[in-house]
Amino acid sequence: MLKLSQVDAFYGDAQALWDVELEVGSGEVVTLLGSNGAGKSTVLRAISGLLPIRKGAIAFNNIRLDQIDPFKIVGQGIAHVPEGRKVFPSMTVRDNLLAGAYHSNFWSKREETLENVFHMFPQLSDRRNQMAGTLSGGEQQMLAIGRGLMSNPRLLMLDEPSLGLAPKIVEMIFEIIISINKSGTTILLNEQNAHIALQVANRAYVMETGKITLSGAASELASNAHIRSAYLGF
Amino acid sequence: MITGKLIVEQLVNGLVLGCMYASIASGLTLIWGTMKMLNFAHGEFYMIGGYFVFFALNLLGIPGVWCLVISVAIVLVLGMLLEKSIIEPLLGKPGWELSPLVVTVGASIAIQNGALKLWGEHIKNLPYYIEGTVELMGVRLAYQRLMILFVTAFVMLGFWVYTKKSRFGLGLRAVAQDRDAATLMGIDFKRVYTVTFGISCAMAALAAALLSPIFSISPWMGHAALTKGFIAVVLGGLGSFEGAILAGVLLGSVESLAVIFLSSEWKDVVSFSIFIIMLTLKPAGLFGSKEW
Repeated sequence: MLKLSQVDAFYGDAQALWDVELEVGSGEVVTLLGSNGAGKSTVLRAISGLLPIRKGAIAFNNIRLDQIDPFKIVGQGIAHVPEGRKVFPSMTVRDNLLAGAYHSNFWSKREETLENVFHMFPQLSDRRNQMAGTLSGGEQQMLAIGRGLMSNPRLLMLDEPSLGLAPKIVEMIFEIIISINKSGTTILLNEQNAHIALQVANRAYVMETGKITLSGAASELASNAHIRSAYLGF
Repeated sequence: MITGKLIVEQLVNGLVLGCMYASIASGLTLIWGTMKMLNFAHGEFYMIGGYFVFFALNLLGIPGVWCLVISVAIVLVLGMLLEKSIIEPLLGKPGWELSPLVVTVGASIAIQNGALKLWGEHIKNLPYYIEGTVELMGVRLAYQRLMILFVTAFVMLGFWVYTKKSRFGLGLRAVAQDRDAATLMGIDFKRVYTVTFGISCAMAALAAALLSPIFSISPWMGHAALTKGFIAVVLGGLGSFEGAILAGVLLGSVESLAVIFLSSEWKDVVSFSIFIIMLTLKPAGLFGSKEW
């Protein structure tokens, strides 16, 4: 479904990605692991077009994402839930969600999709007229995911969904991620919390300083000695 | 002698002036809030707006109100063209904090001198669109002035509702609050910038079209408009649409009422004094750095 080939990316003159090769198959949950600054967010930003790539190709069902305008990518069926949530702080929960359906492909069905998202996230439904900036961290994460779902994506990309959240909330968020995958959406997930990420993923890639260093089935990597000491703490 | 009647008359004048300031200020704050830049050529779009009404009246001979509509429509398009030609190329290049400002200063100088060359330096007068007066509660009010109040209020309110309810308004607010997140939603921020810039210029032109029958037109009329508009923007809080309108109306009212007690040469002193006081006490303005 998604294929990155030999991708190089730069922030100004500083190279951030070196020859990245990555694949996500339809229906999978794939996770990108690595510590802060490893380049995981950069990979997602390259896919959704926020960062142009300098070498290589990014193909989604044979369409070259790196050759189309960034704002058109959501129309291809990819939703990016960015690092730090990035909800629109001075908009209500409802308006934030509607913004997720802005693209003409999804706008006409927005009220129906909105009700589905409210059904999945009753906490958001209760707060639909509240300003997004006043929500708690967990509520904002739900809002950001819900906003991503408003475009009925085939691939949902989540950047560090557990960041800054209490363990109980993290559990709840990941249960939601699993159920989204079960209903047919492919998931690409960045996580520093390797423990929970490897529980939900089918496959994983490990990144260090802008390069993919390891990849394989999640269960394999969970029992890999290097991974255990570096990322799982035991 | 200071009577209640004089105060009410000056208050109405103040509100009318306030409408002009509010219109200009709201355009400036709209651009700041959405694009994070200052348009120094804003006063020139005000000036062009006034001149196009003059030409439409003389060339087409149609009623003033239609000349107003034509002028605003033309300035809307001109604003969008300017944005696409000199502002958009600067996007993504370093120095965004300053480059649009510098480029619009250049545009301002070019447009002012172009107007001077093409249209001459003489002040031109425009006839009122609606003649006659009405008496309300013992005070005589010109229909032209009432028209200014109603049209400005209608347009400002209409635009505010539009930003809160429409798809375009949603896109505009999203781009203003988080441009990257907006792009992820499928919003083309470049298109939002272009249209927003055009709308902003059109608001300035509307102010000129409404007020030129009272204040007449000249190639440098944009300068004072920009200065007062900028003061109102800062008073209301950079980026706050509601703040710009409120501050504009207050500024116009206070200026006009001050003229009762001080001579009219002092009215600018009053405005600048308020400006300095606000910057000293509450630099963020009435509504602070509220995003909209």
